Amino acid sequence: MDRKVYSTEEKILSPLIHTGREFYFFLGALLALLGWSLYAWYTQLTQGLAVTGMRDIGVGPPWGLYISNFIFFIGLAHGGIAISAAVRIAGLKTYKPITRMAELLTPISILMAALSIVFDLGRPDRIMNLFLYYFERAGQSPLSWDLAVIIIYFAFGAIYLFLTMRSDLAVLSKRRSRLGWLYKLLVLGYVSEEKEKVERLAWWMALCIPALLVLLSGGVIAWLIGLMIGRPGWYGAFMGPYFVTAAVISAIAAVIVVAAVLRHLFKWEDLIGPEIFKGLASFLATSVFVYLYFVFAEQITVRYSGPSLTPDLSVSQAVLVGEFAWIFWPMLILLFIVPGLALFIQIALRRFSLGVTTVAALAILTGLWVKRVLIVVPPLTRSLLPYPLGTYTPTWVEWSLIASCFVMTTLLYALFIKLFPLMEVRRD
Amino acid sequence: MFWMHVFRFEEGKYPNVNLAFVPRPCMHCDNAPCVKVCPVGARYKREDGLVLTDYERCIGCRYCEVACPYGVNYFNWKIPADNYYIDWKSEGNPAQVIPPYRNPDFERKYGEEQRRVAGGGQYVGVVEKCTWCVHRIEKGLKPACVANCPVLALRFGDLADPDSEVSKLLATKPWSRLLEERGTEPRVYYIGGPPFREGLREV
Repeated sequence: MDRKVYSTEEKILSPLIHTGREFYFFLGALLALLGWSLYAWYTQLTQGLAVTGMRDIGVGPPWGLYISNFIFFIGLAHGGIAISAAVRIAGLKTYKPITRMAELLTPISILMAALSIVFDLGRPDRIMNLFLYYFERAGQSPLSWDLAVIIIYFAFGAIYLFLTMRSDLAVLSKRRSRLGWLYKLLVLGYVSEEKEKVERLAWWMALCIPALLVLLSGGVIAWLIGLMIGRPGWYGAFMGPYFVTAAVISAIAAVIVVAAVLRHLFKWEDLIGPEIFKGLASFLATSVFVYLYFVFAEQITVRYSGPSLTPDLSVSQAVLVGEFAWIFWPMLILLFIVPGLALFIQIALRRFSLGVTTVAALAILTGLWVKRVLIVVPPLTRSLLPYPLGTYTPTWVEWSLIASCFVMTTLLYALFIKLFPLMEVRRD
Repeated sequence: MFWMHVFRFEEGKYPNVNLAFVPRPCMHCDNAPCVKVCPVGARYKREDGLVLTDYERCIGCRYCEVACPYGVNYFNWKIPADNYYIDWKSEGNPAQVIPPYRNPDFERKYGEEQRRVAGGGQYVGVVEKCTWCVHRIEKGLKPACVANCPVLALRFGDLADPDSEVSKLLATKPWSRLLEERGTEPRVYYIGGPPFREGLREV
């Protein structure tokens, strides 16, 4: 065991200074996986979307895993924002050590969400049409609204991350390293007095971003499907609150997982205290049950009304007892109820375990990915007219491209960790 | 391409059975959900009422297909050459003799907007649907389905003109439209009783 005592600054900067052989193995493995996904994308680009399991109405769902994944990653993007808002607006200083690793989730997830849309397009070569005809369509198309809010959100997230990192970059630019030029470039025009102003600016941004959160997940993403009168099981005002809740839960769960992994990896036990995880875990436990109530509310509304909503009822049937039931019930029990109860019980018994919390958070995160698929796909296999039922089996191309989003998230995290400090550099 | 789906039903009990058919072309709605959701304006409504797809602008997001309550949209999942009935590339088939079929009418631009909207299947990764045969209408012909129906079950005409055949038919006979309660204002009228009546079983 290495018994040398490190200063806080050294501890925070250690991932930048020391890079072991394991890191390169890890990097190599990620790149290999990415190579495989590139092959999958090549297959899809050259043969058309016929290589996916998606099909036309009456045969299969026109939207599948890609759109579900898009909604999932947009949800994750709210993690950083929620934590920063808690720290800056509500003054919950406890969470300060994890703000940056949480904020990093925002721009990365939004990139992955955008990538999911590119995977889904039949003609990705014409993607610029979205911008060319933007003003013509912005008045009507929910997809145009998505585009606008996502771009604003990405810009806010990236600027926020950069501004709050300036003073640390200044510290780095004074140290001797091979990447000195990069830090010097990034701190162009830096004066030590700017910190105060940046803090103020960040406060105002933190105040604006929660409004964007509601506009994005409770608004345009939910309206993407909630405004569709032509699909059973989608239309209604309920989608907004349903989506924004799922988004915040997945985001907090992701923050728990990321923070726990990095804390373990870099031995930051004394920098990231257990009280942080305790707070996040109680929030997670409560919100999971709020979400379960939403699932119940959605189902009872459809089922109580009966024949007048026959197509909606058939979607409910498909999920509860039909061909999606084998996904729905295990998801509900193993990925929502059990982890939710586990979190609750450990809080109630005052026996906090980081291991249990992390596994529960990971389960809930997985559950919310699956739930997005169950929101998107079943209504697309049912119709208002008596078409045959659609079926859906995602192909290896779809799974590979979905995996690539998670691989790339890990890769971008790993690269960031090696280039920039994940916590505010301080001495004590 | 089978852009017009025909629902087939039977009703009654043997030996007293009856067959019923419900053709479903594109409804060319006045309040078309597909036009509203298109993020690039590839799906648009023309002055004369046709709802068409610009194959050169479509990005293939399939939002129109998701939004349409009637399920009239079809996406080109495959490369068009792989989608023909005959594999043109393989040896020992008529492809050696017959070149892939091309229709110059489908390659022209149509309407005031001068956009490529006729036919379909020319491009991979775009959405297509029934055009009410825009390439025939512009020549003064009737849509192919109307012209070829042996029992004159399908009629086509100008509803704005009170003296047209279709206007007179609608004035004298009971009619209904599909999913009228969804507010899409479809332009296809079903003469007689409601097309999906009780007791019909799908074949």
